[in-house]
Amino acid sequence: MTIDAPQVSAANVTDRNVPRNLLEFRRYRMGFREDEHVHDLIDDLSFAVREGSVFGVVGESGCGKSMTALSVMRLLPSAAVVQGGEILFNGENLLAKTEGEMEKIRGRDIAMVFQEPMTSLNPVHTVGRQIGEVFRIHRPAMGAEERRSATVALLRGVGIANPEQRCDQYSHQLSGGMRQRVMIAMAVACSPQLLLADEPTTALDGTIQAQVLVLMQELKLQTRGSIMLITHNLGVVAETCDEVVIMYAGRFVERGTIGHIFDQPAHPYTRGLLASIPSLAGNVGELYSIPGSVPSVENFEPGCRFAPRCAHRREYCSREVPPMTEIAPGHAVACWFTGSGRPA
Amino acid sequence: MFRYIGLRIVKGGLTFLAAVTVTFLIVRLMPGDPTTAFLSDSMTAQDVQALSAALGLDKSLPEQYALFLRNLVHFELGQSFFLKQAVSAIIAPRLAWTLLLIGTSLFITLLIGIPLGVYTARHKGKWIDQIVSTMIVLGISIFIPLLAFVFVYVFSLELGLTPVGGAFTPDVEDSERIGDVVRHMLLPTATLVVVNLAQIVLYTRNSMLDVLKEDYIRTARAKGVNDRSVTWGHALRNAMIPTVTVTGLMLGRMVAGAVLTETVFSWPGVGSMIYEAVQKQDFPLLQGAFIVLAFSVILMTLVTDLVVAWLDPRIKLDAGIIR
Amino acid sequence: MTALLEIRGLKKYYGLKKGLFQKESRYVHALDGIDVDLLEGETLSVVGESGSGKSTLGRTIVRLEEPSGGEIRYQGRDVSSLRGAAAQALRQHIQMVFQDPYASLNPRLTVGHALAEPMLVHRKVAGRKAAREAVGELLGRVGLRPEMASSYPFAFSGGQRQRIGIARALSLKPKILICDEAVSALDVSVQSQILNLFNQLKKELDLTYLFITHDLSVVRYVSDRVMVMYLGQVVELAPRDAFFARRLHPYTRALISAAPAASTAPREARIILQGEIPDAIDPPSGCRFHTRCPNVMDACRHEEPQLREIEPGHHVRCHLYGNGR
Repeated sequence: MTIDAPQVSAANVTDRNVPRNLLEFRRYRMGFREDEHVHDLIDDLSFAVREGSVFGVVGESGCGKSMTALSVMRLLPSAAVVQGGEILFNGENLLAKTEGEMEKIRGRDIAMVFQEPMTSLNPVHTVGRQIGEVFRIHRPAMGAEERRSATVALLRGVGIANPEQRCDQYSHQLSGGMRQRVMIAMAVACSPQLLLADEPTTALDGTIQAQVLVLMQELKLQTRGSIMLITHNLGVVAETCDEVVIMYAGRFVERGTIGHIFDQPAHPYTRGLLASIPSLAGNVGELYSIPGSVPSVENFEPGCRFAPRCAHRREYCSREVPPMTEIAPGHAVACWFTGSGRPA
Repeated sequence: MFRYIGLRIVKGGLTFLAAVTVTFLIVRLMPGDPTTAFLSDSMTAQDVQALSAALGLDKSLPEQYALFLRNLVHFELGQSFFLKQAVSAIIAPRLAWTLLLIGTSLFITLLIGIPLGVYTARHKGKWIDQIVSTMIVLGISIFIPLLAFVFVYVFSLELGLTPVGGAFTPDVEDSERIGDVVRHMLLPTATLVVVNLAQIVLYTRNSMLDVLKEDYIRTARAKGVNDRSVTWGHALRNAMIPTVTVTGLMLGRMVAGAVLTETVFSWPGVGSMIYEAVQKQDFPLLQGAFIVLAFSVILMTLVTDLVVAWLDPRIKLDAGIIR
Repeated sequence: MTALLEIRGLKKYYGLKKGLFQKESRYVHALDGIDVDLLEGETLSVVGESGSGKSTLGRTIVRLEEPSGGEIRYQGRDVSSLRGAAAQALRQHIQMVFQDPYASLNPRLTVGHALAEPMLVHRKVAGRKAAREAVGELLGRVGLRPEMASSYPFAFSGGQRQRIGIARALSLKPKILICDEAVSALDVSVQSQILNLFNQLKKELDLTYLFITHDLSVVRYVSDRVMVMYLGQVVELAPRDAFFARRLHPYTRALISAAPAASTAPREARIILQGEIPDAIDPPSGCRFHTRCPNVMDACRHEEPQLREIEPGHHVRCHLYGNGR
């Protein structure tokens, strides 16, 4: 199946040899409103997704990784409050755009695949209609015939057998794996430059998960777009991503290539996380566990939010927030111990 | 799909059969002489005998039941005691008036109620929502006859804007007849609308609020669907499913509520007929009314089920996951 | 080692009713003839995907579901046909820890109340004071503080709730604990804590585990033996190291291959299965896996393979091995 490569405007291409930043977070901050009080969640988040790469955003519950993706789409829940920073897409700040402008971008330039395939499709519309809707909105010049054949081609392209019949079926007639493929088909229909995938395979069985991950990689190669993959599963990250950012309690903790993160993890949290995953190849002795638990939004400490659980903490860790420090080309960490030494 | 419809019709038919059987049994199994329920004091002994024979009261119970059912099929519901006419002939025109009243009320209720419910759901928490929510509570709690009386008092007696009662003025020109009926319908329709509007708005609003939180709404927005299309194209059809179900139940109650409304406004429908028949103990008339009402409620429930099945493909196509 | 639990030919079918006028003519074959022993002191992991029947197996053993056929013997006694008070007594010996820490605790009961209830019902403790002490001891055993007994579930994190669920399962001092995806809903860092807790409790309390999961790396860490299920049948059963080293059944190979590894080490080629997991209502003829099997042969389509012991302790259900030899 061929999906067209996204149109890249000449104005955005500076040097064809260096992949440019497609998406860039700059000191992004957001929180949640509860009654009169606003709890900070994401604090000072900065990272960039390059063109043509698969970028992983990794963290556990409550770290804000889903909010990161929803922030890009400007689809945050009503209690969320954007507190500062920028999210640049092709150089333009998405946070400054109007709702009307965002509606044009969603589904066409940036698309999203969600975690729960069982509930993410409308039960009263046929599958074909839901996919066709993307065309109706973003390619209004397409006629009904053309839309249908494009939809069937998309379904075939994501590996669904009998696409002509499936087109007229409803979501409850499809299995979880098939529904997720439909979601992916909807997302890539207009060849978006950026695909946001929020735990796309977590709810799927292992063998189906493998199929879907392979599919996503194939599609990425064809469209030359980028994928921002949000997950808590480090195995999936190792298999599919080029670069990763690790988040903890709403803050950036470490960023690097797969090699950096898995072979030279710098942050104590990253190291702890890697040590606590049981290995398919077998573990020696007991599994490491990071003592304590992830703090909830109301209980964030000043200073480094990981400090309460960190074996290397010093007294200044709970006072001063460690800045993001580049310890090797492309490898950055936010930690007093392994990053920049002590605060000034 | 057709099997689903067929099944629903069969179930409705069985329910109807059960309802008329209960009606049949209530009369004949009452303590004391069963004939007294059908016979009135002002009859002579000969009348009594003839009536007994005509009603088949001298036959055995199963024979009476068979006779009863056969008559039913021919729309033969017996004779009214007081009006000396066939019950079916009495009920038919009154049924028409009741349907006119209920039908119009329902139409207006849905026309206003559904958009209002959708609007307040989208603007939840804002002042319009709070006003409407308060009105909902009032509307649900209000006592129909009280509202009816207040309307009559204010608009008919004090302000003289509307007629005091009835469905029409006799001796009116043909050209003016429709306008005349409309004027008579204003207050009774308003009463029924106020009471039922509250329910429809409540259910639509809450149903919409639930649906708008669903994951597939978020998916639609992620595709770039604008706010208006999300509400009307994606959310509404899902939100309507419980609302339609409630409307069906509400219709059943509306039919019962018609007794009160019609009586206050002297509206010549089945409701006020029941009131009169109870007062005079005109039993065949009452029996006929029950049967007709049972039939209408069952029919309305059936229609509701079919509409819900049309809205929700998960019901029609119960084939499950096709691999 | 003695077999604490012996399961022979266990079947569980769910009938599908199709409306008022049709009889049940179709069944979901959730369990279709399971033969396995649970040996005292071991951890047997049960692995499978949707429709495999692994959760049904756990629930049927604990009698949350009634078996449709076959036999369950506990300590040599047939318990599959027990009803009423006798079945209740069995619950003291076999308990279950559930997957969802948020759903499996009654939000209206305090933790102390929830933990005391089974003990009071089964008269393991006499009176409130004894119950309170027992609850405090239980909480301590799972790594929580006794003061937490007066709090409600919503005050706790997922990991803590799972500990409470484990405490509840332990309150009757069972011999067998069935863990139904007990760590699947937990974050990675919490999962390792709970897995360590399971190990510790097993040693301290002499427990036997039936560990139901889909996560093969967890299987690697906790198991003594591994059992793979597909569409209601056992397809492979082996000691852990032999299981991972030999990988006899093609489905096992695909499962292990599909599991993403959190490392940069070069991987062997991925085995991607074609097609969807079939329906448990109309399982494929012959070998149930034949529709997706990369090694499918002609015999596989027509003849159902039997579970055979290929090597000591290693059973496989596949025509590739020991077919009539």
